[in-house]
Amino acid sequence: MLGECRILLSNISLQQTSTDRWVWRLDASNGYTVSGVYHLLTSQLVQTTNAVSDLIWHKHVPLKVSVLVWRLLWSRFLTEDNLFARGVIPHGNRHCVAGCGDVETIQHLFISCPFFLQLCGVIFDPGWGYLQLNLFE
Amino acid sequence: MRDGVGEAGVGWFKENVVRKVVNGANTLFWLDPWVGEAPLCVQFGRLYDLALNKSISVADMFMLGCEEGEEAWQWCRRLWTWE
Repeated sequence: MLGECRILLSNISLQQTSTDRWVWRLDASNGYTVSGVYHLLTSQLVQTTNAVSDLIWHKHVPLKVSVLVWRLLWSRFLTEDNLFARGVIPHGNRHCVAGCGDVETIQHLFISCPFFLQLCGVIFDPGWGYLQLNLFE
Repeated sequence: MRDGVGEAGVGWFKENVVRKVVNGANTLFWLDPWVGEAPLCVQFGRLYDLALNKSISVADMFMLGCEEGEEAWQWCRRLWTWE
């Protein structure tokens, strides 16, 4: 690792002609412009989310479900880690509401938390689904 | 529209700003993005963890001869041969 790092550094020579400065990677000559960034963000958004958003904002999907999934994808829940990142709660108070001891993130609540996993087990229990199917037939 | 906070706390703004190093005096060797695609603390996370002086400048690293010598690289323990 040190070897690879040194290879990176071997091409660099410092000069005393001027001081270091920040450069806007997307447009090194003109620098940062609002229009350039607007273009970047709007074009990326279309590329990465078009397929997904067509699914989410589908007319057959109930609005409350669309909103929930949209917030999931963009990490817009008031989970403890988000509240901490936004300075709402102090450090050291970021644990899962279920009391499992892990940090409360969206990933944790919806995928890995043992408590809510059990809850999913109840909701998606095959026996329960079978019962519902029979009721509607 | 997205804001500056991405999945890993790195947003579009931070990803697109790099440090153009000339004399290296005001650029942090490990923490600023100045060589390669990401800051060296990301590219070489293990080395960064072991480095004693995490906020050393590029100029100081080169003054101590980081390209060849050992003096510039001060670790909190001896490196393994593969590190």
